[in-house]
Amino acid sequence: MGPWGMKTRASIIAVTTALAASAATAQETSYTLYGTPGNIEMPSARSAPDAEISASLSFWRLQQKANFSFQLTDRLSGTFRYGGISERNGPDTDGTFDRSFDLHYRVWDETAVRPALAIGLTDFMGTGILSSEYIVATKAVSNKLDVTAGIGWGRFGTRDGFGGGDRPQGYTGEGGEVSFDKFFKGPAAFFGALDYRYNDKFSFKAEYSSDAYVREVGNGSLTQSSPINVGVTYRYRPGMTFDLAYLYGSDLAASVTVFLNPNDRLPPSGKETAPPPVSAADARAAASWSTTDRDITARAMAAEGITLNALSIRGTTARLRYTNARFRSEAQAMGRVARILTNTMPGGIKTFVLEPMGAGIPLSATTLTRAQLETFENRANGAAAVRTTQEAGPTADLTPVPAATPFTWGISPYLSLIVFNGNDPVQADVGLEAMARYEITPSLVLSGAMRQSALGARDLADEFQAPNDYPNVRTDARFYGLDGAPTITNLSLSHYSRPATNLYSRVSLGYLEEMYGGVSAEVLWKPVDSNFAVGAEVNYAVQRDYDMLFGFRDFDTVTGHISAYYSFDNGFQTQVDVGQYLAGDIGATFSLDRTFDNGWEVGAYFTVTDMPFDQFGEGSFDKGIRITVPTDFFLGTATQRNSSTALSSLTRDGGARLNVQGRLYDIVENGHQAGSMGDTWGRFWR
Amino acid sequence: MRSVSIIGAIALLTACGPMNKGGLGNQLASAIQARTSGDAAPAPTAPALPSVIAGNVLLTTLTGKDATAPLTRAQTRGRTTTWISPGDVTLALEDGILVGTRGLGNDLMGADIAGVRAAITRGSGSNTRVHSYLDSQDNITSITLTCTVTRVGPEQVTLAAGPRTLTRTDELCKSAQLVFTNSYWTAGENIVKSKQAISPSEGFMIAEAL
Repeated sequence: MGPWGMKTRASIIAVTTALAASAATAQETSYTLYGTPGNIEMPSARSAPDAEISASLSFWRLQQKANFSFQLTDRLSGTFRYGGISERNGPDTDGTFDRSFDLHYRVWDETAVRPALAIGLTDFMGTGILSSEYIVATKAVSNKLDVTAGIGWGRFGTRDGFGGGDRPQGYTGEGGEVSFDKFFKGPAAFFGALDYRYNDKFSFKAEYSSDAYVREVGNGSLTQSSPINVGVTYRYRPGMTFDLAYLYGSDLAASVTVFLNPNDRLPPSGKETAPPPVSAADARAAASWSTTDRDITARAMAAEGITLNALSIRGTTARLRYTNARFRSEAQAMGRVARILTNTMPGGIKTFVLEPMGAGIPLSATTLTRAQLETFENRANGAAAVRTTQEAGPTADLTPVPAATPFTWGISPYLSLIVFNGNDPVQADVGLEAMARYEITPSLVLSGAMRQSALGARDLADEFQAPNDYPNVRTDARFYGLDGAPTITNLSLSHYSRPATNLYSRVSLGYLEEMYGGVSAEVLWKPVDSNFAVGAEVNYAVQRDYDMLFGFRDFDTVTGHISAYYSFDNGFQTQVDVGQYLAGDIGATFSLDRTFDNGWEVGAYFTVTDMPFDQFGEGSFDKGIRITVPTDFFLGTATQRNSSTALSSLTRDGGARLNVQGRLYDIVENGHQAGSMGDTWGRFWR
Repeated sequence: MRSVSIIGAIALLTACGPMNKGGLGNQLASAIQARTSGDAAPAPTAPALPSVIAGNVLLTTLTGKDATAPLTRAQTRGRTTTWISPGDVTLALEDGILVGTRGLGNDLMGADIAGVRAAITRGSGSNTRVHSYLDSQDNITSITLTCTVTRVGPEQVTLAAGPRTLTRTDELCKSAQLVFTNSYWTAGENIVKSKQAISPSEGFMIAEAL
């Protein structure tokens, strides 16, 4: 037998999952029609793997739900749901739309004898159409069969419910408040379920539901002939399942669920092309350096999507400022710049000081020697060995490198989804967006964007609710861009600088966003190695004309915030903004995001101000969830692009902020060791 | 107004212009852009592709990709030579031992291989290897392996130039996470051919010096 034969049969065996994140390691999560871990309608004590994100659509005659779930921590998951409830008041009556939030917490794990136990809240704030609470236990009696038993309140306590007295009904005020008064109140009832995993593709489920659908049966829209639901799950491929169920002996239900985990990136190191290798020093002396070397360096950097902004040569040290427009990770960009310098700089230049820039501000400095780069290029601990940080150096002794292309532009289609009216489904607007950017200096930039809708003129949307006593700072949005003519979404001049150590500033002037123009000024204090930052922003905003061109209306206001940011070592990041909002209301916004080093962000926020809930309108106060998806996670090659989506309550006039572009925090933390550059430092040699 | 913008997803499809570089429509966009914006792509200066002369080509098969390509010498620095494929994947070999790959998807980011080359020459010995990999969260994961080198003996090997008898030496490496066997076929102290582990998903590189 020749060696070729031997080779093809030989293999690398990965014994644990640490290196084989792609391999399905655990039984895939089973999701309910509510989009939560569980059976058909009833929950179980199972959780999805930490960080799993799922989206599902489920349909049956009376309920259509779009669910979005996130495993916030190993034990805690949250679900946001947008549901359509049909025949709300009996056959042939209108339905309604309903937003709801759930939480599910696994109290303890399963052992050989003890079942896993979880506690959950369904639709715990808002109008509470689906509201219930439960405590549930699940035990695997074999590796194919899960048995679940639980007790429910609210909807889940309506079949043969016992004890508990009366449960508060309906909701107070404008909805949107946490319904503490209902939790675990009223009659309770038992439910149970079996989940049989027939093979890798199919599971069969049966459950005894404790939801008697009292209202629906009472008004004649549903006839329950059985408390039993049965269903089948088909795992079409990893990350996608279909479910079919027969509910209450009367109705068919179907759902599709897609899920993925930000912790499973394929391929983990990315497929972007290799960097140039570290080159040995040539024989040239440092003093032989010339602008030809600079130009060769700039061209090599440009080939990596990196712009050389400024350079100084002092003795045997080269100090550079550059702007990376290709790599999500500033660490990866820095690694490429460092290797290019070993190739292009005279061998006599032994030390490189690299200062990544964001919006024209130098963000930090990393000092690397040729000896380090030569030693650690292919060593196991190579990235950690070259990790240092300091404040960026002074600008005075640097020679700017003129931008090769100060003017850039782009044209792309856009799609935005708009809800003017809480009872209408989403409206879509599609069209073309043209963007242009002129870099006067790296830190002084004129930029703008215009849009042309493809849909033409639009009718004025109905007013959703009676006007409030505050300026209609956001509810006026329905008047904007109705004529279908081109609109200027933003056109502003921005200046960024670093006025003092650890201090960054921004001033923006012009048409700042779709509804407002004016001037916006911001400062941020953040040391390069600090997880804590504090900032302040003040804006003078004038409302723009409805045609979204150059004119203004006669409403103007001063709005501003003091902001504090803290990034926890466990990946959670919090932000608190206190100040005066657009409508003159005073209050605070609280945000909590789980930020993954690979660029995923999933978070939630809420804003409470001195605007009374009945003035705010439906939902009582502004709140929402948001998700940012890095494009390179799916693309597999380097790009800084990402997609952000926010699912918020109806935007009203309370707690409204100016949508200024280019706020400082994200720009600054991206280039800090205590920030994204440090979080992605493993990419330095990639 | 509630506005949910998912512009990004759509923009990727047909976007053009210098501001839209890096999207899925990049290739299409760059074709348009080259004509319309005058943004000529600067010529990369490194890595350079030298002309093919003897000893400057490494015929390489990647078992994980089931692909074979002639790699050319991009650079030699000290005992380390970096080889580059036509698709800009690089393999770095130190004294003939694989210490890094770039551009594969699940790269070997670095390897500590002190003592391995000497053990191969000797035909016996134990040594420790450390391999490092990038994980899904951009962190470096290092794996320490304990390796045993044994001389298998003479073996007839089919090379590109024809059959040849070489000395085969195996290196069995084990850790809690990984198990693999590297093989080296030598003539004197020269590694003519080798099969070396990259990563679980990329498998091995089988490399033959031409």
